[in-house]
Parts: sequence; structure tokens; C-alpha cells
Amino acid sequence: MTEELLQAYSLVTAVAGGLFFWIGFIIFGITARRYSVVFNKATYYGLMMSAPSGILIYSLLLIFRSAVFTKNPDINFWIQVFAYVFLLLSSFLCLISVLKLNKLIDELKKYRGTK
Amino acid sequence: MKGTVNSISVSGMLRLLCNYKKTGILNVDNEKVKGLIHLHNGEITHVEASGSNDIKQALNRLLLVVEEGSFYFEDRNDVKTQPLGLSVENIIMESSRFIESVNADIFEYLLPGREVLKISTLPQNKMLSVNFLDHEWNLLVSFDGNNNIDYVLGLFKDNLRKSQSALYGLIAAGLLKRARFKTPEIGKIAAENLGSIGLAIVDSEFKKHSIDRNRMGMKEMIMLLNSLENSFSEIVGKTKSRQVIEKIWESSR
Amino acid sequence: MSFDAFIYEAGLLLLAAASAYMAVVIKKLTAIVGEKNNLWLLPAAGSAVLIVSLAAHLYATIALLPELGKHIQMFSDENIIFNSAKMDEVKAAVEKIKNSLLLLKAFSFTCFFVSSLLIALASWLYLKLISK
Repeated sequence: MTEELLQAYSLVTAVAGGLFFWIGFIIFGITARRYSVVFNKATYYGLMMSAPSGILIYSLLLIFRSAVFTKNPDINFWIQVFAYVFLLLSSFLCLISVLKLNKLIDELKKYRGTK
Repeated sequence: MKGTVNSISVSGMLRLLCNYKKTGILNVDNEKVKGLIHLHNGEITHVEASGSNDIKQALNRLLLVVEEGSFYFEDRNDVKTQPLGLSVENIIMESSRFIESVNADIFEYLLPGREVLKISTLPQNKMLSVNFLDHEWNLLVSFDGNNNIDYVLGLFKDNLRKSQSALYGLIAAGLLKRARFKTPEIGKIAAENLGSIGLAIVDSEFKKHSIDRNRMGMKEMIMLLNSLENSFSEIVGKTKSRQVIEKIWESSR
Repeated sequence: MSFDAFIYEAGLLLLAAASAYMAVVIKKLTAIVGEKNNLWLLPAAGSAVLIVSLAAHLYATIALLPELGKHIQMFSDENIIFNSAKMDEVKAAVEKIKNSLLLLKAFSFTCFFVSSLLIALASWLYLKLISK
């Protein structure tokens, strides 16, 4: 019972965590979009808002893996691998987009006006 | 009526006295020249200046006093009454042509570069008689009420000193006056309040709307400020954005 | 370390890096707005918590799982099979490791969840700040 409870708890926190990461980066992407619109410069805000979807897919795949009809360990393994791959890709793209926004902000902070 | 040349020029004072049809003596006292100008009902009737026998030369010397000095006007009736037939605007323009010889830095006596100027209208029944040189006329007509001083002087940058002297003359003669607003230093205000990001937003907006900041009319300025308010709001929030826009409006008055 | 665990660790590491940079960006953005607050600490803490989650998972993968495997292999050892006392010992050890793994998993995902809350909160608070 305790084991089942812990498994369920782990699943719920993993999925919820994925969801909140997705929400967090999407909101941050709104900020990046504002900079893109005002300065007419690339901020990869689209990437920042879409990349966290991978984390959401990771959460969904975890749910899928623990579903009744996937008791096959081989399938479970590959579902897990795909989930991790989506997480990895998503994290990488989130990092790229945050770095791009950081670079733009650094440029703007050094801006001294047109001659 | 008294003044020092640091607050109003001798030319400006003479023009005012003539326009208000005053009668009396305008005394000028400067370390290089001392003199007086008789006025009768706003007409110049007599001129004296130390070291000058010729009326025009005397007038030029008195009107060219730009360094620290003083002048005062006495309301008097014991003045010469026969007009010399001189147009005050014309003599001010003539004297401005010699201003370079005074070795003063004319730029110090001009209005700030952001000031938008326009050609003055004449009061009722006023007759104007002025001889313009080509560059003076061209400079005059370049001020269409939308251009500021920096922009127009930029058009005549090949002979900047001559243009500055002409501008001094045109303003002193009352032929050019300030338009209702001056182009505010939008970039400077944005930078002071929001740092380099503010300046970047301003430059971005000018570029977006293809506005020349030296030729900005009221219509463009309103459009620009509306757009700036939106852009500032996106980056720093509505409250701060409004504060900055209000400061910009203040500086245009 | 297995291939899937490696991918997971790498993903968490990159996510922690993204959170850390988010902290850097938020710090700069709040300076632009002219607000003196410590909003950037939220994503920074989120990044740190993610590193803890990563460490927990790493410990489970590197230390506990091999240990579990070693103990499970003992079930095929004749010395263990025919010795009920030793068999009970091994069973208890396996049970203990399994529980530790479960607890560590729960802890790791809790950290993952907490980190995500901090990131989401920081983003939301900043957006609220520039919308007033």
C-alpha cells in the first residue's frame, strides 16, 4: 500500500512538475514576446513558448506508462526513453531561448543611441 | 526701461520700441562703443556712436553689441523728429551681416537647437521693407513651423557661420519666432528614466515610424508619443510609462 | 549508468541551467523596470532544487540500483538459496533498497515539482510587475 502510494505520489508530482514548468516558460515567453515586438528583434519567444511542450509530453508519457494496459516491461522502457528524450530536447530548447533573451538584454543595456 | 544684453539684445529692444511707437532716447553703453538712438513715434530720427560719423555705421556698431554691456531707454520728448527713413528690421538684418567681425560666438546667443521656429505674421497696418541676401531668404523660408534650428542649420552647413549670423538677425528683427512647441529631447528623457533600454525604445520607435526627429511636427509627435506609451508599457508597465510620457510632454512646452 | 538514466540526468541538468539563466534574466529585467526586489531568487532557488533532484536521482542510479541488482543476483546463489537465514537477509536487504529507491524517487520528483512551482511563480510575478 505504501509502495503504491509512493508510486502514485511520484507520478502526480512528476506530472504536476512538468505542467508548472510548461506554464512558467510560457509566461516567460510572453515577456520575451514583448521585447520582440517593441524592439523588432528576434528573441525566439515562439521557441520559448513551444519548447516546454516537451516537458508536458514527458509528463503525459509518464502517465501513459503507468496505465494498466502497459504492463509490458519492454514497451514501458521505450515509453520512458521517449519521455526522457522529450524532456532533454525541451530543456535544451528552453535554455537556448533564455540565452537568446539574455543576449538581447545585454545588447540593450549597452545601447548608446544612433549617431 | 533698462536691460543688459544678456537678457535681450539691443536689436530686440530697438525693434520693440519701434513697434510700440515709442518716443525717447535709447542709450547704449559698452566698453567698445557708447551711443544713443533717437526715436519719435517709433521712427529712428537720430543716431550717435563714439568713433562713428556715418549713421549706418553708427547703427551697426550699436546693434552689434552682444557682449556684456547695458542700455536703457528714456521716455523723452526732446528728441529729433525728422525720420531717417530707416526700416528697423532692415537695419537689424544689415548689422547681423557684420556680426562675425565682433568675434563673438554667435551660437551662444541663438535659441537652443531644438526650438521650432516659424515666420512671424505682421501686425495690422505694419509695412515691412527688408533687403534680403539669398542665404538669408533661403534660411527664412526653411522654417516652416515644423523644422527646428538644428535641422535648418544642417541644411546650410557649408557656410555655418554665415547662416548663424543670418539666423541671429532674423530672430532679432522679429521675422522668425518660436512655434507653439519645441521638439522635446525624447531620447534624453527616456534614458534618464529608463536607462539605455528607454533610449533603445525611442530610437526603435523613430525608425518604425520613419520620423525625422528634427523635422517632427505636432502630428508626428502625438503619434510617436502614443506609440512610445504603448512600447514603454510593454516593457516597464503602464504606471511608469505614463510618468515618462508626461515628462516628455512637459519638456515640449 | 543506463542510457535512459543518462538522458534524464542530462535533461534535468539543462533544465537547471535554463532556470539559472532565467534568474539572471529576471534580475536584469527587474533592474530595467527600476524595481528593487529579489524576484530573481525564485528561479535561482528553483535551479538549486532541480540540482538536488538530479543528485537524488544520480545517487539512486549510481549507488542504489547496482546494489539492488547485486542483491537480486544473490537469489541465484546456491549458498543463499539453501540457507533460509541468509535468504531472509537478502530479502530484507532488497526490500530496504527498494524502499529507499521509492523514497528517493518521491523526493526527486518532489524537488522537481517544487522547482517548477518556483519557476512558474517567478514568471507570473514578473509579468504582473510589468503589467501594473
